[in-house]
Amino acid sequence: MANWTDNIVEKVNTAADAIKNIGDINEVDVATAPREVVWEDGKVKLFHFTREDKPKAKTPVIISYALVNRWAMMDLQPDRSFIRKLISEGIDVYVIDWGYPTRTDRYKSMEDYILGDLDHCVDYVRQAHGIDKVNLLGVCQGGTFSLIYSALNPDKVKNLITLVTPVEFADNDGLLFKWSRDMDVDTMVESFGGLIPGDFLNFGFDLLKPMNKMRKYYGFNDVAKSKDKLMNFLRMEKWVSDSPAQAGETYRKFIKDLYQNNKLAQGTFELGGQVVDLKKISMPVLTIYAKDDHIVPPDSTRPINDLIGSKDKELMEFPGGHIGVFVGSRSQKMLTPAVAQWLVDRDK
Amino acid sequence: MNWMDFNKTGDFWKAWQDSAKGFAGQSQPATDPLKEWWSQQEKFWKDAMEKTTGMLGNQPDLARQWQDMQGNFMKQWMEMAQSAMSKQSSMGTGSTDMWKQFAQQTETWYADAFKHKLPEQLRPHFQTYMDMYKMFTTQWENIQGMIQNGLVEPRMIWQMVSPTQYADAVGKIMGFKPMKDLDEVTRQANRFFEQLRGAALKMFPAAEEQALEMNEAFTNWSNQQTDQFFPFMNSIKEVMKQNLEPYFHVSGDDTQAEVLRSLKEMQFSYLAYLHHSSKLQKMVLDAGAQVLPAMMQEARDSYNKDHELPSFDTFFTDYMNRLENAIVETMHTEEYTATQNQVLASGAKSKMIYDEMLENIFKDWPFMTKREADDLAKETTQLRRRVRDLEARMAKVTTPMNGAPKKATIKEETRTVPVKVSAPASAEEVISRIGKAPKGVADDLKEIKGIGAKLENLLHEMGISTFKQVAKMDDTVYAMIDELIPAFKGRAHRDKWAVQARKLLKAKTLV
Repeated sequence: MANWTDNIVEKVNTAADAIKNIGDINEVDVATAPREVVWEDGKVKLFHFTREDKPKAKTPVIISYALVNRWAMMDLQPDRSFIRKLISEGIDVYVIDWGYPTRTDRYKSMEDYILGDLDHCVDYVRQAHGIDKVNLLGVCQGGTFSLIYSALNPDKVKNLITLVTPVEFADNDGLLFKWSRDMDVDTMVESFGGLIPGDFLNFGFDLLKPMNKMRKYYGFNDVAKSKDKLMNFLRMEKWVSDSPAQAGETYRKFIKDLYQNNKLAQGTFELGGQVVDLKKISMPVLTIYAKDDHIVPPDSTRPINDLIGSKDKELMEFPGGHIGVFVGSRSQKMLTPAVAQWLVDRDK
Repeated sequence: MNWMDFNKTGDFWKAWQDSAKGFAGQSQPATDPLKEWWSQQEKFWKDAMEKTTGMLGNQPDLARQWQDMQGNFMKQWMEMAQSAMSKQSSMGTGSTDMWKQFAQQTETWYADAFKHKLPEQLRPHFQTYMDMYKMFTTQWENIQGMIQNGLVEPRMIWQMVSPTQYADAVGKIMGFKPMKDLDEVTRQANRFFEQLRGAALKMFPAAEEQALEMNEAFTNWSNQQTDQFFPFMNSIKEVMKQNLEPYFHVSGDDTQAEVLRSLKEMQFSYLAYLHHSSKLQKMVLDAGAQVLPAMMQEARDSYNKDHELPSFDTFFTDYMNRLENAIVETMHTEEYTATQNQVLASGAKSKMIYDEMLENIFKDWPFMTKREADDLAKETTQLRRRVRDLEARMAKVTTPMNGAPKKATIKEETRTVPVKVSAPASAEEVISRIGKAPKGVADDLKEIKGIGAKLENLLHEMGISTFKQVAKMDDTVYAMIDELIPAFKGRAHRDKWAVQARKLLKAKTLV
């Protein structure tokens, strides 16, 4: 008897709390760290995060996020924000917002992103701070972009950090890699009218662990009865569903040259008429990979360390998955401070 | 005020919990106030959730109603508790069921509210989760019974757990379009395409005929009208007719033949899509179907040892994990990858043919088609690229050999769009833009506000002497004038010379 009463009392209490919390939440806010637009071209923006004190490191860092999903992941909730933590650790932070491509952008290529937008952002920061070189922090696909950029412009990059960044596309068992190898990408790009919808990309990521998109709802009662937990859960949901489409030409080249032909690792990748030689990367490089990453497995990330020409280079393993890198408590306690320290140490 | 003041109700639930605990172990049928309260609760929650899903915060009336109800119940509960205690007895099994039911229902109600807080695209996933959870809770008694009695062979299990229910659940997880019977779906698809072709065969000539008939009927009718309006309107109609010409030729023979051919092609690629999809679905469903029997066999083995059944939560989460593993394992096979790529390619091809067909039908219509928009996008991108190349070349010319360019240049380039003077400013250049004044013709430029005698003289020296010339000035010319006559810099722009001159010209012609 005592058991069922307790049980039911708990259930009814949970229900009462949950309904109150659900009713109270009207707006789910993400990416709340104060910032301003300092540069803008078409749909692409460069944000500078405002800070009150002087940064410890003189050289600011530019974050180049993936074109898939949004950089809001790096500032998802105020108390576990990668960006806020970097700022509080004394780093001056910029982030590139790639925007939401539409059909007008279907011919926008990797060349336009890397030699255009990314280069313009780097130039802006160099000029605004009166410095020759900036720090680059690339995330996932944005990390691959940063590697390519740094190989072509080693004189503009002081230090490079890649987070969960794929570079070796052939030698690994990741499902995305396997599936992409024989995909008829030309037909896909054409049939989507040159713009790969975010939903399609998400569908692919979801399939890698088909239960994930539902398993997270297990125990939603416990989530809903705590207002903080509920808010953070909804923030993640908001991020997951906020997925920009990808410009067809960029997607085509990324799949063909990288996923299918592994050109970057083999030293045959070309951009804007130049062959990209990763050995030209000579600045200090920090490569961070997630041990349980099922989207970008460690096998595709770790080889960065062997492919680059830098003498000062470091591999850092993060115990967790692709997303845990940004929002986990370990990310706050260990990873972000380590990243900041690494940058401060190399700021001379 | 928020609709629920929970400081009050929180206390209330705590009091309720304490007193409920006091009754544990005693037995007496549920008393009326409790039943009454429950039916009120049930009705209220249901109404409240239906009315306010997703926006509970905006219902102050409901909030008050809820508060009142809590207060009333508290009173009733206390009376009942007192009376029950005095009789040394408590709630019976009837009320246990009632509470259980209530708890379950509240969960469903707020699950719905929760769902509406999720982003729209994710709601179906939550629904799938709830469906699966429900499927398991409703089957749980059966599953337990089968484990206890050793009925764990697959054919027994699929008698109790509906294979359709299973296929639906996995289908939703994997985003499958339901396809239970490939033969039947193929028949339906063929029928559909035959109907489409039939319609296209009839529709095209009919559409043309109709359009021409309508046009003729209208012309006849309007010719018979005596209102003065009609001849006027007919002349407009003639112009419109020329513009609308393409509409009447949508049904040209070529278009019809192309549409019919597209439909045939689409039919085949669509059949291929169905065929590959069906194969893919079968692979996944077969792989997942092994999981439940395996788990039940294991549960049976362990029941034989210790006579204990697994808990619902363990069994349910275990099932989700193992189902996923089984599916992922299949997805790692070459066959799955090949089939999935065929599904994607045939689906994409069907859509491409469909797009082409629409393009053909609408190619002469007076709006931009996909192909034209693509051309535009291509040109835009190429232009951006050329601008970038030019900027890079310019930077090479202007950047000092060592060191970064100065801070100021960037601000100018990116934040504002300065008026670029393309050619060096000279009087000749100005005149080439605004035209020469005819010999001996001069307006009184001093009529333009901001131009005094001195400035007029300077302008005359440059060859500017008429309103007509000033009226043609634009920002570029203003910038040149600023450069040539620095003493009056910014004045032309400030006083909008061109606008003033246009007005003066107009006034002159009216005189």
